[in-house]
Amino acid sequence: MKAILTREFKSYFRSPIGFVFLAAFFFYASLQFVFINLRGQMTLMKYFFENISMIFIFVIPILTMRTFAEERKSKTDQLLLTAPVKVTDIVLGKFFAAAGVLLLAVVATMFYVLVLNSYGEPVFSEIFIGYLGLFLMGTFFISLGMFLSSLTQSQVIAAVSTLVIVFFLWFSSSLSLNFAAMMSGVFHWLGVFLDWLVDFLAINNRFADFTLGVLNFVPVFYFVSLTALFLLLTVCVIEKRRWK
Amino acid sequence: MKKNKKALRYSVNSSVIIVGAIIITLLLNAVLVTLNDRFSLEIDFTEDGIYELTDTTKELLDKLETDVEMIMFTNGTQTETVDMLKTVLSKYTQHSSKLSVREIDLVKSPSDVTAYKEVIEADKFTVGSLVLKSANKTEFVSSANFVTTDGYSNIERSVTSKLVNFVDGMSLSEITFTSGHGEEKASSTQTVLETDAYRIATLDTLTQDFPSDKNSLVIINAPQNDFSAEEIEKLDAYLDRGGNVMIAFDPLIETKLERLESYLQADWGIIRSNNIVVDQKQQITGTPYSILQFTDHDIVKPVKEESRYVVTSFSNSLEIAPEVPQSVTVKEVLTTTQDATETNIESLYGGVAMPDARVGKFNVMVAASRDNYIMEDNKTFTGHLVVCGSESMFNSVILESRFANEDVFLNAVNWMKGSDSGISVRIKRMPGGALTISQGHFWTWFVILVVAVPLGLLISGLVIWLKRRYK
Repeated sequence: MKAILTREFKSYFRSPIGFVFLAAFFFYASLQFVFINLRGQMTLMKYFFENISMIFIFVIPILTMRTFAEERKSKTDQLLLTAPVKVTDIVLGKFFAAAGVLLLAVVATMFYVLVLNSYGEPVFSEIFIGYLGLFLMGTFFISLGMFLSSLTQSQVIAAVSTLVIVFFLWFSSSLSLNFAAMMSGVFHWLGVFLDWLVDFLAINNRFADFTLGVLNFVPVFYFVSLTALFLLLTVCVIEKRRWK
Repeated sequence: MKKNKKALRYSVNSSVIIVGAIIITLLLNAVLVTLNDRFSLEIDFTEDGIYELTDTTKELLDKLETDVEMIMFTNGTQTETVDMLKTVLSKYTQHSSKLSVREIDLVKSPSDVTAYKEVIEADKFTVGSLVLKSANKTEFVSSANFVTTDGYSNIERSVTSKLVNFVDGMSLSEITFTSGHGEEKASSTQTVLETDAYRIATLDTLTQDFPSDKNSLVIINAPQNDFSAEEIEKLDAYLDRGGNVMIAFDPLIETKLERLESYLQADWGIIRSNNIVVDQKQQITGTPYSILQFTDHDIVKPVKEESRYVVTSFSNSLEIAPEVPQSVTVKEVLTTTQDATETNIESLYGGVAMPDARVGKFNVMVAASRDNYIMEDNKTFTGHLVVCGSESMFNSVILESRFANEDVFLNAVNWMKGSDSGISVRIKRMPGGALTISQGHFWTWFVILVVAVPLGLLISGLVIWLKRRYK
């Protein structure tokens, strides 16, 4: 796995993708920081985290679109699938490489905290929790993007489908759907389940706790378990292709 | 054939694994959410523990024996206040199984609110407001004051003070405002006290007796007319039996309150000067308010430690008599700086300079206590008296602003009544603080962070791409 991780991580920076990702992320993050915190003259980073997390909808697909789709299109996946390595190692290697790039981007923005510290008194523990939430949510999006990339050989389809699904997850809580009220009789319970599911999938509700400076183990488990689930699904898809 | 069989077996196995994993993930998350409703699965990293309940609230919840439903009104959108409210309410339900939370979405089910129209105060109803409901009691908690404009949270204080009414045998501590001497109404002070779980009563000192409970407190707010000898006697007897009195003078009235002031001087060693002190160097630009100086008195110690400001507009100065009765201890609480000047109403409005006007440090708030042994009870009672040179220190403008006047007022109440009387949950500082950055530094960081670094990264990417392309 280590060899795959290293190869994949380096590959992000052998092509412009890693730089484009970092530049886009850093540009948007800096813009938010400068206007929310410096212009707004406050050390509170809650609004920064809320806004910056939205950029994930657009930049995570850049990171994940090529993970499997590109290899499948250029047929290099045949080499990987016939190599004496476990599919789990391949998936985890690619996942940790993408997560590494994400971590690099997130850690780079921690410089903002130093800037805040020179002009005010930020509370580091609160801010750290925000960063933790940001990273956990990012890794979940990466695992989702990798799963979608494993289903297609088109990078564009992989990127667009990731963008659409992440966009839906992000804004599902704002839809104000009430299936339970819409469905009556035998379908009422289906409506209740659908309401629960929409609420369950509402990412920004889960992320809110982190921005408040509260480490809640429920959203931590939520992001970790969903990340693990999509990695497992990706393993199953690749494994199936290997059997074919 | 053998290969197909293996592939089929793999497909079946992987389908089972996928379905199983999805079900387990959903179930585990659902279980954790349910557990979190009853047990706290979170750690509050905020500076002031804004999402943690204070011991006062926990003790109150332990005594709660009635089922209370907390109905929260939302409108589907997430606001900071609603986010905070949900988190804080979850702490209540985690601590007491007698409490439950129900959310009414005003967008999805607007008609549901009509069931509570009797209890809801329409002018104070905003998104995030609550109705607390038990089998035979309902209380309304407005969200209007949940978060103050200067960054403090009142959520726990507001909810806990209303929950007191649902605890059997627990009654709110009473604070009495005197009447009959043209006293100011002090509605904002009363609101502060009600939010802090006190019941407000009125006392006509001429016809009624002072409270008998030694934990009671009587406030004489800006009297315009003097007290009678009989009233002074009643007041003295009340203080003799461990009563607590707060007097706030109106510095802009010309009438001298002879009996009341003589009583304060003779029995307590506190002299109200017939002047108005102005501390111009401490005046906040664009306001009539000057910043006051703290002493080491317990009333102001917490505010002093937080480096917050207490302000007043015009004030009478309060001097401590050279000879104070032996059983009395009197101390300064708030003062002006050494640069304050003395003036009077004639000088202020008529432009005639006050003769022999002094310059120096003046007391604006003093606190005294007096021990009195009562033989028939074989007990020593301690009466408390706090005197303010200006009732404006606790007017609505100051109490609702960013100053710490409200804290000082409540600290004074607690100092007199003793910390174990009444329910008192203080406001908590919201996360984050202010930042002071010059325009020049702002643009420097803008250029570095928004332009230079992303551009540098893009150029690096372009160079690598070009290198690889023309290799």
